Amino acid sequence: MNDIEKNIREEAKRLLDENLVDLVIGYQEGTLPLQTAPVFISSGDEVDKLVFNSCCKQNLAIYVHAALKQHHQAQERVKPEDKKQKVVGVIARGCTSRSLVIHLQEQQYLREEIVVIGVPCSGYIDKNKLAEKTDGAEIVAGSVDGDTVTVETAKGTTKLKLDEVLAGNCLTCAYNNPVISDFSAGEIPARDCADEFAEVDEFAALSESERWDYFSREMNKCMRCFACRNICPSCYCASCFAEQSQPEWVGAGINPSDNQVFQVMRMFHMAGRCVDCGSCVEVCAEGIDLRKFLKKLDQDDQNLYGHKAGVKLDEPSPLASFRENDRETFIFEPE
Amino acid sequence: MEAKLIKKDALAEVVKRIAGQKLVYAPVKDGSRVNFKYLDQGESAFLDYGNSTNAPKNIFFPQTETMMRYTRTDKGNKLVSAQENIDEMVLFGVRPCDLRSFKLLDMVFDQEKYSDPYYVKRRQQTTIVAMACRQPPSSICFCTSVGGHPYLSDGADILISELDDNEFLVEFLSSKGESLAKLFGSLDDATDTSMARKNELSEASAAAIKSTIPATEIKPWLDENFDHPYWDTIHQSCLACGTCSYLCPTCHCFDIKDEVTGDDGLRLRTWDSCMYSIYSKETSGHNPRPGQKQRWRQRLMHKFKYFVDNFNAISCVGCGRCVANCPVNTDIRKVVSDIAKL
Amino acid sequence: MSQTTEEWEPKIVALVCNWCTYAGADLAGISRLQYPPNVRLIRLPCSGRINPFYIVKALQHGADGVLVSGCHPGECHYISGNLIARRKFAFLNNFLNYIGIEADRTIFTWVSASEGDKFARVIDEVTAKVKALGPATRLIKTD
Repeated sequence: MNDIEKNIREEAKRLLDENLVDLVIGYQEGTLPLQTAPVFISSGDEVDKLVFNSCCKQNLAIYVHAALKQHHQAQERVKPEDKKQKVVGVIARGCTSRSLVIHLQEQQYLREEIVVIGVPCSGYIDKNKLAEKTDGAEIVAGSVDGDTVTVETAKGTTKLKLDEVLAGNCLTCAYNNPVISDFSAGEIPARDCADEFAEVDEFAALSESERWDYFSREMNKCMRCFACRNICPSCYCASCFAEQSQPEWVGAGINPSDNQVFQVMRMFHMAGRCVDCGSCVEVCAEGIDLRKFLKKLDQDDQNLYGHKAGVKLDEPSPLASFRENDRETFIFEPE
Repeated sequence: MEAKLIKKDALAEVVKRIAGQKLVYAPVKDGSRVNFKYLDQGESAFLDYGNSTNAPKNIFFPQTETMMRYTRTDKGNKLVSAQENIDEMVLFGVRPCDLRSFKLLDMVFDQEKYSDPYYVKRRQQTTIVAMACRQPPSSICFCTSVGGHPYLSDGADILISELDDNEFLVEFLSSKGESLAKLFGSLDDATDTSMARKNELSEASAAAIKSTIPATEIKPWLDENFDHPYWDTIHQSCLACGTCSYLCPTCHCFDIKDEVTGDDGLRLRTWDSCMYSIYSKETSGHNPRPGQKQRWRQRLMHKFKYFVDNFNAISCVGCGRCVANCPVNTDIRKVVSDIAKL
Repeated sequence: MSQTTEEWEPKIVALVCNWCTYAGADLAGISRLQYPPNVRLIRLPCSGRINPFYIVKALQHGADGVLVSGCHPGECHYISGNLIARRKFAFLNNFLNYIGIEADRTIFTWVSASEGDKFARVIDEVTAKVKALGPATRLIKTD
């Protein structure tokens, strides 16, 4: 057990024992090597399940949203004097905390309904990169020790550098400490990261047809399981356009065009709202490179409007605000 | 029934030869993943694989299938069946767990009383070439717990088993399989030694499957405990995505939807998943399975209880795809084992 | 439309606001200005009401080009509808091009109610641009 784990367990226990929260959402050991799973703890006796390491992948903010929304709905028919508040504690690293900020900005719940147990994070291991390193061979055992990841497959044991298998979004992430927190389990210096938009620039430099070929090939893999949407903390709509039938925005079949349109519009809804947590990539069973495209919206958000999703509570989202002198070089003027 | 011996290189040639004549659905390597797909011209199958990410059920039960087309005219609606002419196909390299899934799907789609013409037609037109698992493809595999076996051949037209790194035993098990025999070229007959070797490997492979679940033991508990508090403990992390259902070789729920453009319409059948909230949502807005708890219970009950009630078989083949690919690591093996302890 | 014997003509969907561009189109008509017949005008209350989905759906269902036009900044009937729309369109325009949709398939402009002449010129030039691109092939739905 590392110091961070010790700290979060103590804090979670204190919060639960003193009835300051009803629930703590965190990570627990998974059933497979190098995996963890979300865990929901409502009693101080269970806090020993909590872990935090470089195998913690999911952005837990979506679970905070789900728990509180469900509670709000249940409270709708309760008389005002009998209404109860539910408080959710969450183990939050940088990206999770940024998603919480977005929820707060978008008035999904109140600040006092959450307790943020902040953890420093230097990144998580990307399953796709691991699979590449092992050429798809099943990992039967694995461990992380400092900067070394040891991976065992049927073919033998390999030692990898942690940086080689960290998710792409973690390698360019400077939010290694949460942007909001009520308790800090530790702090680490911010990563000295490479240019976060290098990959976007590289892709944008390709020809239109090369970009289209890449995009359509990636989208052809989609089986429309909606894991990307469902894990995304910014995709919290009670009913998604993809499921509407009047009008039917997206066809139900896995027609290539419908796949493309679904993803284009889902990603577009992330404009100024994507915290680059990489969860949508991590959950995809087909390994679709969604980040390549989402990062473009992030870049425009920064370059056009000087905004970074979920970093400041009092900074409005770019699509909910405007300036009179916003750049409009894309506006066409006839000769 | 004939049994022959074939070398590894020759086998790859055989797939190419078959693909030259018929549509072949076979595993293909794409980056670090292996997926079943229809082979393109000149494309070779990847036979050195454990198991594919997707299940091969797509060949009989496509994710999206057009059932009919219609056009509104002055004289009323004109309906045209879209049941295609299905050419003869070969499903090459299917693993015994997935092979077993076809038996289970048959129980649903090809019954005495209800027979699904789309599925049945595809099934009839397809020759199945199975490949036994010399080693269990993954440590997650648990086929032996749910009535399967790494060398199962029931339902296959041809079974290919690896005897050593370079030699395979080919057993032609049905007339459909035998009609494919000539495409295998002239081969040496298998000897008693090779059959004995196969049996030996078969036992060793089954013994190497370390992951087991008490799949049959939990039925009595499921019969009694629809409202047990245990159901409150597994669904919380579930994202309600359809990964488990879509990758599952036995999940077979579908939705029927119309797509209309102007006067023309298509009636589509698409896969559906009981993990989605709209799966059970009624027109009134009421949802009899209001939360993920009920949906999770439904999926587990369907596999281990309702299917057993209806068809006397567990609707799980132990391929482990849902275990390996669940985005939040909800492990059905653990759930079943936990229930058995209750 | 026979594509074999005659020259190919693009289909362009124009999503325009009720208060400025639609009135501008009206003025172009009243002034008897000529512009190519390739454009299908769809009138909406405000450019702020244009769901970016409309643009993507038009492309999906076979539009060779999509033109979006509203009031000039500062002239919105609803004060700021076009300013909010401008940000949406900036994101969408860049994003569509980034995934490989040709830049000239989606065109955004401002045309006021008094700019009948500008409206005609916009349609002229947009039609020429889309014509130069040829028929749309990306995002299009076929079954």
